[in-house]
Amino acid sequence: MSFINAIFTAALDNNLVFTQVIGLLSVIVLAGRPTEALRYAGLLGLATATSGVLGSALYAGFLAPWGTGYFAPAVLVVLNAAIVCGAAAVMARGLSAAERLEALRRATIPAVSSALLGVSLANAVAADAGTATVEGLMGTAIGSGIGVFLAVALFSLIRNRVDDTLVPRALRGLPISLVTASLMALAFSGVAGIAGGMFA
Amino acid sequence: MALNETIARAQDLRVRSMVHTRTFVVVAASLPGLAAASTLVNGALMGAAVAVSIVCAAILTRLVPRFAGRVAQVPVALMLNAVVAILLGFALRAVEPVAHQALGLYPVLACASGMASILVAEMGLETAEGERFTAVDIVFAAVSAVVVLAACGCLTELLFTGQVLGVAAGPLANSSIAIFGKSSGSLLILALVAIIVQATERSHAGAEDGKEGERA
Repeated sequence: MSFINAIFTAALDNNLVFTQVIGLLSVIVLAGRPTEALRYAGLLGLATATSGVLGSALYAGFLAPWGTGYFAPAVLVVLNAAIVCGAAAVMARGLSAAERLEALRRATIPAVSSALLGVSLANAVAADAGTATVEGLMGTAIGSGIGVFLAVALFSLIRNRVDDTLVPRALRGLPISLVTASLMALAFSGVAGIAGGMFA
Repeated sequence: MALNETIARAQDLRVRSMVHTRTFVVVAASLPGLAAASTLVNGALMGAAVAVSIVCAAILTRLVPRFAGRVAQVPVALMLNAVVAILLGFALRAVEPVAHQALGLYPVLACASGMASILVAEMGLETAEGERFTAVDIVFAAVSAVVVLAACGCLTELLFTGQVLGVAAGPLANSSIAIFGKSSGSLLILALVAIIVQATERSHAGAEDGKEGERA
């Protein structure tokens, strides 16, 4: 039950993007490509979940026992970039060589997203504190991935439906994106304590 | 297929026109540290750390292509960028141990992301020379990170707790506004800053166009 509880808590109550404002910039940039938003949402969500699982295993298995925990961010960003590039290469299978290269280039934005580093570092801190269980860490990683997927997909959907011609001139562009993100953060905070609490 | 290519090109153009603006630079510099900028002191500290990380990332992205191969450039730059973030985290702990304790993971995360990560991503995206962020953009991003995060921290502290640096602000001290204690409130403050920067940018662009028109 704690596994399901961790998934719901990480996906909705403590959503990385809207509740903790981690990785929001990459979400805003990726939402600029509405036709590919679902694909990028899937890529970023999958990479976040994988990064959380592999990152916490790497930290608990190697970095912490060797006393090099402080160096975790530098190791984890390389792991994250490898995960995103690997996932992008798998997703780009079947495309022509030029399209595959373009897909890999575009994967740079998800690769540098702090959402990936956020989940693996948060798991590392939880592992350090000694309060985390394996199923809790796995649940948090998978839940964070689902949360990031929801964030990109929903934000892109809503941002695409906002007709810029109806928005006051001063708010057009980034300001309306930030107001949209703020309202979505408010919506996510509405379920805080409820979603995760259902399985406590 | 042709339609897909046209749509993809239009989307690329939209993203490019959004990214290469002063408003984006301000937002990209401030957004990662926004969640931690809950008070004036925290905001100023985060802003200073983020500013240093932006300048370091700009230097790194110029140096890395000189010794790393094409494929390794982004991972190497990311790793060095993260090392800078770790060092800045240590520096923050040495300067303000209490604030560092309160900020938790945010200093490292904020320094390794945002404008600094956009600069690293630029290497992988193979942008044209004319489209790259210039030294002026980098300095502007660094200064705006300090100013905007300190201002956001100050406003958040004022509106949520009704006081700044322990000094009560009259009637606000008795009626805190709960939304400013959450990320949605901070995002609204940043949206307000973005509106101001965008309006200034547009009026500046309008004045430049007017001058060019007069010359023509």
